[in-house]
Amino acid sequence: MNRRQSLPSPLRNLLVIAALFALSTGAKAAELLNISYDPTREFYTEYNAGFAKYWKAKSGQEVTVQQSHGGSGKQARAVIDGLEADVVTLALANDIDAIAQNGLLPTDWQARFPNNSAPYTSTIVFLVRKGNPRGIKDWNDLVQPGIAVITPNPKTSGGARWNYLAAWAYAEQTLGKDKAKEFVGKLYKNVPVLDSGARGSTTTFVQRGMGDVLIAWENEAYLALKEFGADKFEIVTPSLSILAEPPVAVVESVAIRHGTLALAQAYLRYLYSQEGQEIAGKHFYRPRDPKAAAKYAGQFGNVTLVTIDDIFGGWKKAQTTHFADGGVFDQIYAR
Amino acid sequence: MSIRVEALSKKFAGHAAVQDASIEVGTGKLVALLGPSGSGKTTLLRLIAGLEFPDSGRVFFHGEEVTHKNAYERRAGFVFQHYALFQHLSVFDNIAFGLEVRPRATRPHRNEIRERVHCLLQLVQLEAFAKRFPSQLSGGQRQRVALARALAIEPRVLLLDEPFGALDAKVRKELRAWLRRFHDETHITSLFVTHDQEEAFEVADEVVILNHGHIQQIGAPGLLQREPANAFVHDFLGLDFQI
Amino acid sequence: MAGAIQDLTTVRQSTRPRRATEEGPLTRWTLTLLSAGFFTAFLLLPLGAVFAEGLRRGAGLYFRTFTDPATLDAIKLTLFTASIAVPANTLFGVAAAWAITRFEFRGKHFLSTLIDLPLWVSPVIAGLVYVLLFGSQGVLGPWLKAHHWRIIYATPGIVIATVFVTFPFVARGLIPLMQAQGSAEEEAALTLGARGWQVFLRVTLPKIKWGLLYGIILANARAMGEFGAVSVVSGHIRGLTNTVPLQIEILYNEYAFSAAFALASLLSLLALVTLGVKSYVEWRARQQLEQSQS
Repeated sequence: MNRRQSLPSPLRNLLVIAALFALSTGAKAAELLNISYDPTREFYTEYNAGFAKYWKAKSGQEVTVQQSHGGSGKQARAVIDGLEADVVTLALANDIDAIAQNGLLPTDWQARFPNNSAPYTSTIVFLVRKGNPRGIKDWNDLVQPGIAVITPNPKTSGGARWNYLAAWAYAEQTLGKDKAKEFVGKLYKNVPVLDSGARGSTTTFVQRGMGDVLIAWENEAYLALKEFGADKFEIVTPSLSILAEPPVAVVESVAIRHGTLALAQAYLRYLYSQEGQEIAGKHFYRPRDPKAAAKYAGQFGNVTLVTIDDIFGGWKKAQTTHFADGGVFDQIYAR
Repeated sequence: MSIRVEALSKKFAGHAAVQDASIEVGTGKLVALLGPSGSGKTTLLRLIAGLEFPDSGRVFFHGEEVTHKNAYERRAGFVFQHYALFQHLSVFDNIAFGLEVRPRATRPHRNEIRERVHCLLQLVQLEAFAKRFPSQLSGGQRQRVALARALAIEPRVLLLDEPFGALDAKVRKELRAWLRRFHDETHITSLFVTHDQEEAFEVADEVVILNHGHIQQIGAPGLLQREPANAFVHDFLGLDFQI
Repeated sequence: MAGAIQDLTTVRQSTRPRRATEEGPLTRWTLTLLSAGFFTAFLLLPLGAVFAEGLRRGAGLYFRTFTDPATLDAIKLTLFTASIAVPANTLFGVAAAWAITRFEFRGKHFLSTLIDLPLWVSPVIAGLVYVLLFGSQGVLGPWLKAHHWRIIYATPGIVIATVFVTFPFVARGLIPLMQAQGSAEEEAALTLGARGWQVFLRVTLPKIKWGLLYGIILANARAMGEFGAVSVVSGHIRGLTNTVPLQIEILYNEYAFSAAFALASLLSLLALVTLGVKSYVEWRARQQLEQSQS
């Protein structure tokens, strides 16, 4: 064999790869882990790219944001059990409160960012088949016999809890406080399957073709419309719904340990920036920023919004009364 | 190379298989362990081989105590009732096995192994079968391979567990005679187990009679027939005079 | 292994005079058609559907699924997990089978039962047990945190959960085989001067090789396809802690249905290959058994 031959090609490739690797590790890259709830997948894909560009331009540092999605309650539980999230962007304040109670972030977390740490809001609407064959117009249509309603499990899904509370709020406002439990009970009797997360329910309704109406996050419903075509589904905005404020927080104990506290705070603050609000609006969230809100107002329907504080006295009370073990949901669903 | 066993006892799950057995096999002798099934003869043989360990008592090979030595240290050739040939190895490799597994220091050179194996094949009259596999042999042929395999390690003693038990009557008779002739030629100290009285009396120099784990009597075949030690021996041997 | 070998000869030879232990033709045909129908409905149709759905948006998209970085990471993680779980359980399975079939010791039946435990326990429960053990709130949580060791919600947790669920396969493939084969050949090897490991390598291993292979390919199929236990301990971090089954769920949840099925078809191919190898191994094992009993 000719000893003057160049290196055999696998070895050559290996050297090239090793060289590139050495070069790439020269720049100090940072990583963040964002534990989020179910329907924000597409939103954070775009947002993370935008933030990385912004951060690179501002500080010269490369940042990668790892994402994990699932039912809000389930994700909070995972963070408590050791999933090392730098930030959590969940469906409702109570789930982040639970993390705070376990000492992973301060109990006054909600005051750390503007608007109760909710950079955008959403609400609960209905998704029905094109042409609205069942003539769904409002909440009271959902309790009619023979209507199949798709909504996720309030025990694991944040969106599911907003759905429940919205239905309860409507019943209280229109039928009276003492009729609300009966109304919501009838609603859940019409539910054939409880998925564990908002996205699961959407898939059940849209892909598996189950149910006549999907109770969904507003952004989720509009996204489904975009993905599957306005020729297959349409959105019905009820007369009354609840103002959902999905909050965000830095998991300080983890971020400090990772050395990413400043980066994590910047990441969440960017949600409130023009670009962040723009992306939120694009993904069918209702932006807080007045300019962005005005720009995207046209894509949403008109609805009277009530807050959780108005009707339920806040998340803590709502959680204990309705969603804790033996609470109202357990009582009406067990029957 | 003599075998001596002193007060050997062994229990299996509460049942006493061998109780207080003491026997001696003189150098070059061929001794039979005879008794009904369940009498403990196979257990006794396995205790001597090192395939079982006694609860009490001692085993000696030519004065050297081997009671706590492992089977692979005792160099006691063992021939099993159902041959226990290595199915995945050829006849040649079966016989060579004991030499192949020796530590490098004592392992013979490959050529020497080949020679020895062929010698043994000649001895058991199976030269033509070196490349065959056990599944291609008859019962009698397999037992001869098993014997050659046990002999390959130049054992100090030869132990045979009902060596002809799995064969039909005609082959059994032939191999019996063959074994006696073989022993006369090689004079290797041998101990074999059988339940067949005719076989024990025909082949062995001395017979040990066992029942329920106890040794009943030890002696040359003629002696046992003339002077049975107790009623059991008397009945077992089918003797027809009153003690 | 002896119990797992299926005898198809009775089905094929339907025109010769029947044997005493056979059923009449009506019973035979009914049973055959029932099994074939069951097989088609629950195996062939779903399998066909997976491939059809995966190719629905064209072959181009089908192959592009496998260039997506998150999917590639999932494939890599699955391969990595299997490459640890399968050898670990092979070692354990052989050791356990050896201990159970060759030795008498107190607690032997308990060990045998323990080996089967992962088969009865729901995989989700298995995953939860590991969260209880290694999670922050768990028994070992504080100690692990103090030493900066991540088990749950990281790769080690996924590997451990997978090792647990594939525990029994190799041992269960070997135990009945080794019991049926008996230890006479091993004893013979001992008397010929072979030490323990020599006996194992030269005598035991060649005898059990088909049963061992059978157990290994089953363990591998399970390791690569495990969902429940891994889902609980995974954390679902994209590109980091998702195995192929988890990634399929994610793709499905992101409305990438064709991609989800394309990835699922990969697992289906694995299942088919496993089935093929298993049939071959069973055939060889049957040959070996027949040979040794002649």
